[in-house]
Amino acid sequence: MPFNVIYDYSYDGIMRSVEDSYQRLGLARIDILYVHDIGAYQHGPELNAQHFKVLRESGYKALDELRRTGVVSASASA
Amino acid sequence: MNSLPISTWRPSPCNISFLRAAINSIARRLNQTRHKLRLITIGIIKSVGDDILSLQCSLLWAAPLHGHPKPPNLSGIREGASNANMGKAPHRPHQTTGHHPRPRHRHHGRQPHPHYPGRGTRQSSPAAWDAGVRYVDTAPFYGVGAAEHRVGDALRDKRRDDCGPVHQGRPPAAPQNRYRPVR
Repeated sequence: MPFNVIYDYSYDGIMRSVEDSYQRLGLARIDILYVHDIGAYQHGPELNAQHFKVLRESGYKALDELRRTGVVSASASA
Repeated sequence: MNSLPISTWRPSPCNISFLRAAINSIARRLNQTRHKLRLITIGIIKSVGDDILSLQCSLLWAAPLHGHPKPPNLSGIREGASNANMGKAPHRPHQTTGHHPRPRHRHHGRQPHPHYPGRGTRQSSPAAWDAGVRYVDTAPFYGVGAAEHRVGDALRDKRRDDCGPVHQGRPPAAPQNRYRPVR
């Protein structure tokens, strides 16, 4: 589909991503939410450090909130 | 999660019959060792009719049935999957009329449009579903949005609670329907 791929591990990015995925899937429940492709293998050591900082300081709050409010049943990193 | 990764393959390109044969082969082997296929990861980048032009990766997980924690013997799984249709002219309906060139069954005279997006996932998902797969990994990245549409289409009318989620720590439910190959 005509989208660009952007890596965004922030609170806003994760919330938007989950909402858009619900729109596309049209399903009532997502069981497991994965933070994918985070690591030096994918991004290189410098960029990965930046991404990881964003995830730790901002994105993790989104994962916690989504799990606590039951939007997703579990979250993990892969 | 009480499960183990059993196979990672990258058949690219491949087609639906290969995917179906591979899933059937793995499920049959797992059924012999009283394991159940629980998760399949399919990232289809592009498909035209029955041909999957690029399948990003498939990661299959199997959970042992309650009381049978013995890991499955999975040697020879690749040999069991038939890839005989690759390279042959596909049994593909006419692009505009939808008429099948070589009907093998009286209901095969008319088929969905070959370029209708998502036909491949909707055809292959019942094989995975009947084999016991209840978790499907998808992502916005797979097909840049297309995979989620197709996975949603395939799962919308399914009761996903049938097997019970493994992450709640319950033992997997006893198999209601033993493995049965999907044509």
